[in-house]
Amino acid sequence: MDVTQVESDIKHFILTEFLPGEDENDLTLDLELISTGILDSISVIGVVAHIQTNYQIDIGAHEASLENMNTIHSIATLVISKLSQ
Amino acid sequence: MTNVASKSLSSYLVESTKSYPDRIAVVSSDGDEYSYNDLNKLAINVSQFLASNSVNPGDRVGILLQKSTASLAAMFGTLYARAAYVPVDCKSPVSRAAYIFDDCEVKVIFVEKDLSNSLSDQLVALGRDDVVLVEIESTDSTGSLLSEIRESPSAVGEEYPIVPSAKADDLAYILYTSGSTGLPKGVPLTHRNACAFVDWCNSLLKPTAEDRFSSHAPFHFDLSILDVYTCIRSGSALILIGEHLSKEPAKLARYIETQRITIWYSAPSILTMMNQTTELGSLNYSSLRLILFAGEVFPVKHLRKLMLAIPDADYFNLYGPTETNVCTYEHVPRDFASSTEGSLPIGHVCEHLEALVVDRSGHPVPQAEEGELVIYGDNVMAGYWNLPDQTENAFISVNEKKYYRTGDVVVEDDNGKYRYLGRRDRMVKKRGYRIELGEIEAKLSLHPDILETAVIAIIDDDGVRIHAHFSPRNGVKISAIKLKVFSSEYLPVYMIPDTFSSHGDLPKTSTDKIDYQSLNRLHEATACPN
Repeated sequence: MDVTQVESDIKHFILTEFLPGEDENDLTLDLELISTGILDSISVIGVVAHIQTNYQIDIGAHEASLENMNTIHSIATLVISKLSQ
Repeated sequence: MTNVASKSLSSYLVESTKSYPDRIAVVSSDGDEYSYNDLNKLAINVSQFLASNSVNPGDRVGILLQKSTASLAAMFGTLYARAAYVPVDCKSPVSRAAYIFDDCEVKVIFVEKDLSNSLSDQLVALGRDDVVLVEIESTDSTGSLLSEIRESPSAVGEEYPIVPSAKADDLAYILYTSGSTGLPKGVPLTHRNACAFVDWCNSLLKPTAEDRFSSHAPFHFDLSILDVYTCIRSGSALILIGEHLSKEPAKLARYIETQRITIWYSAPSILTMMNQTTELGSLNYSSLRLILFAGEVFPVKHLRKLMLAIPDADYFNLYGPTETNVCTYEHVPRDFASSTEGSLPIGHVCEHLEALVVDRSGHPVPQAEEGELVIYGDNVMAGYWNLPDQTENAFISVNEKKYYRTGDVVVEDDNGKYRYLGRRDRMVKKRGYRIELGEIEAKLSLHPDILETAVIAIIDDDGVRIHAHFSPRNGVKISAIKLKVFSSEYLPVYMIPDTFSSHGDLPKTSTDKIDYQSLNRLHEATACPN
């Protein structure tokens, strides 16, 4: 599994769960999600739950940081690094 | 006119008729002109008709008419009879009008002919079959008003009567505003209240008989007090802008030019619309010396564009609720158009009034701290019509003076000017953060593709959600993602709206303000589909 596949999955999840009806082209991989209010603290928990279940990984509270969770790309990078551990 | 305090609104028409009998007093929407003599005679006819129908000093007279010379004559005629007029929006539901006329127990109502039957039915249902209805054809001419009154057997016709002069504490008019309870509440104003305001306008604007005032606001809206009475006080011409024209910005922009209007007064939104639909710079606005606006915050980017399009006029931001009429004002600096100032102050308190900024317990706050603006002085109403509890809550006593609580949160800046921060009741708390919805609106309106926004708080079991309604320029689509990214440039994350919806036009009240109540109902309907 490469980062592109994970990015695509996370993008699909965020669009479906939190942004129904929005144009997927507006949700770029480097778009800041938390500082723009696209993801709030509750939806971040939803994203963490999704990747934990989908990729069978554990995300510690300290890992669900603004830095790791703020873009689709950074979330995918976190997933890949957890999978390679 | 001298600077001695005026005694009554009616005296303005009497004095100007004596000074300028043949000058134009009114230009109706269809261009017909009426002199001061004409308007005075019409008003006398109305007052005699009212007297013959047992309207006594202190009684109320309803007006459910479109704006016209006839409705203006009905207003002055009522004042000549030392009665108080109660103007109601003829576009509002007739049941609402009937409620108002019953609430203040009018004796006579001037009513549009096509509304007469249903108003009569509604009044009968309220047990008020004693009210005299005077039907007026929906027209801008005064013909039907004259014939209606001349046919009345006791009308004296064109004789010149001795006009009884109103006393300062006589009621002049009652304006109904929407009440938080859902029922309209009456704001009664006396001649003292109104004249204090009009005299102040006169000293600020220095109108002369050469001036031509726009009358854009409907007569049931308090903005009309400035243009009607300041105009008539100085023997100027009042250019009536009827319902249809008032909402057609492109035509209106040309009308200002052809009518050579010198003093314009309206809510900001119509000015913005005129500037967006018309190349104002290409019109001859050399007559237009003053542009006054009030009623809502003028988004600074639109104000700047207007000032660039019409650079030679002086601009005034007037602020005040119906209960006080204008109580603070800001003469917009000429260089505002090129400044980077983020907001426009509501300015200094009017010279004849006193203002304080108080905290929630009614204690004055130090300068630069925010609080509620409260107002004392001759402009201020004595209390709501028949609503003792709401009246008590509307005032606060400081140093033995009764101040009206505006409900508006302001802060006094270093120059002693007040800056409007928002409605006290539009402040919400979300996740512990205090949020002014008006602030979100102000920031969203900076978006180049957004014409107007209305932000509301949706409070349900999930807590508080901020929802932004907006109307985009030229119907362009703007995604929620892009709007959130844009908002994040100006607002802390907790103030970024959670959801957005796009509208062709935002719903408006009859006075052209955003209709928040109907937007709120939109969400109730969505939440409870049953």
